[in-house]
Amino acid sequence: MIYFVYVISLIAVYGVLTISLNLSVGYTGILSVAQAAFMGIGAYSAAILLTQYGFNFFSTLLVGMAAAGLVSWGLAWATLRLKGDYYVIASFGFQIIIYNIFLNWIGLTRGPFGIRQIPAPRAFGFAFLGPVKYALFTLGVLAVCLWVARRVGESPYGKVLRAIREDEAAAASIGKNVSRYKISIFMVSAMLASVGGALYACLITYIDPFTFTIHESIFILALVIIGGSGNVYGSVIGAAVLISIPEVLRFFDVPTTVASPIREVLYGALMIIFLRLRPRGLLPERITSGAMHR
Amino acid sequence: MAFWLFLQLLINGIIVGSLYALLGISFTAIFAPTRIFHFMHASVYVFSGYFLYQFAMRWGWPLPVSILVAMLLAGMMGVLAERVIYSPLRRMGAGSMEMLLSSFGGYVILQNMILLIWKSDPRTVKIPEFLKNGIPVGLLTFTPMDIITIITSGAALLGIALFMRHTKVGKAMRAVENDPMGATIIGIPTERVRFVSFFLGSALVAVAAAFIVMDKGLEPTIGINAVLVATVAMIVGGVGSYSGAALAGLMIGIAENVGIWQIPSEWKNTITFCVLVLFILFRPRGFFGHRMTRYEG
Repeated sequence: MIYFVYVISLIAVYGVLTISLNLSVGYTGILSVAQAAFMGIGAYSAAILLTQYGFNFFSTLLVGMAAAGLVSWGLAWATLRLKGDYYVIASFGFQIIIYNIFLNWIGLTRGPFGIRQIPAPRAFGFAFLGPVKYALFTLGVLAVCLWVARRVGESPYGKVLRAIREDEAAAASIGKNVSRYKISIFMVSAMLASVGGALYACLITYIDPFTFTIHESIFILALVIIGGSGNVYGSVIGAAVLISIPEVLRFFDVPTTVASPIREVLYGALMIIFLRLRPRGLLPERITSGAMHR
Repeated sequence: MAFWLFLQLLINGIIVGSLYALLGISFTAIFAPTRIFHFMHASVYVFSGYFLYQFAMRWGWPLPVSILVAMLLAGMMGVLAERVIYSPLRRMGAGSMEMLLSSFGGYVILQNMILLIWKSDPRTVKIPEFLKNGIPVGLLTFTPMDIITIITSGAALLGIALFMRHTKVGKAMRAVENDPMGATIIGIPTERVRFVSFFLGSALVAVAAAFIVMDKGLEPTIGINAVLVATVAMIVGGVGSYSGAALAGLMIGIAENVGIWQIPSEWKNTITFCVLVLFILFRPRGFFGHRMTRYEG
């Protein structure tokens, strides 16, 4: 039962992460493989501030979001002028650098030893102790993220994002400041990812650099694609499906050294199969406005 | 003294850089004609390292034979990737984003196959002792292995240059790169050209992998760094320019090694990335290429 609640929390955490990436990949067409880096920034901010400085959880969230926002602004400013395929290379390089920082800046992150005993969030004198309370808390955060992402998607701002995705030059030609839109949504996406990272750190209670590699970024990308890029509910479904199915493997008697590669082969294969047979994912994007027929 | 140290680092940089040049060219040979961002190149790189390990260390084959067979197998993996993953997508009319995403999927599958077959422990491919003995020249030292590395990569680079300029297939590759539609219209078998470019690029990456693995050892994760170097070399050199990619690879090798003078070696990747960002900011067309920033047709 506890285990079931834990899986629910994990799905909620990955739901937040997937929604965050969906904002840039699905809405705007900025393909990025650096989401795990921003997730890591949030996770490390939470872990360091909670364990060493006794911050309260919500202020660590704010610090993590500020850090992720600042870093993503720098990255976006320097590299978002690149065309799609080349931008991926920049985000890929960036992902590797952030991983290197987590691994090698031992004074700050304890490097490969990781940070242990990350406490549960507490706010207003109420601690979200115990798996059930924490699961409710993550589901609450997920609901807020869903609401924000939907509002962003349906707003005029979100429509400009989709216009940029479909035809960047056309969006620019009707007077939209394409760079500003891209940079801002990229920052929002990074900040949400840092929230997901902080939730992750408090759920697992232990983090190390090996969680925040490019493989994690690709995994989140797979969740976006399989769930349906451009549809935030799809992101939650994608996370639910891809996290719960492999958990079933635990009930069979497979050693971990074999089970975890098999799990990953499964999602790699699903990613390819979906792109071939159902490229728009489990829940395809729905366009609400009549002006946006494709 | 500082001068000799600098010179030694510079020479080390050139040796590593010649392999990076191969990496850059191997990625360009695939990307330029097909426009596929072949991320699985990372896994092909690691696989060829493990092939070499399997043949040379476990089965005791002689090294040159092992390298040649690893090249052949790597080339076949490249062709297989095109055949199984990219070509069906292309027939569906999928764009470059779908290709790249599928490539990530393929990468994940191959990486985990490596874990299942060879486990994640670090491995080494031993080379004969006499190849590692330093020969002092003034205050500098070389090993025979360094010289073999330079000669091999130089020969491979020269071979590619001649192949692209003077053979029918090489010319076809450049034609497809320039204008795939036009090339099809005048009767170039674009499908087959793509297979050739995948085979060529993947076999080349096996050469680089072999030398890097013999020097630094083997782990399942090393492919990521190789692809970072390869893609940065391609961009900095100017996409589509083989000599540019080679030159940029050389430059990254030198920058990394001379950088060690002042910067701890775990930040090598950071140096590579900074080279990329500087080029994006100040010379987005790379050494010899076309613009790659937005609003280009």
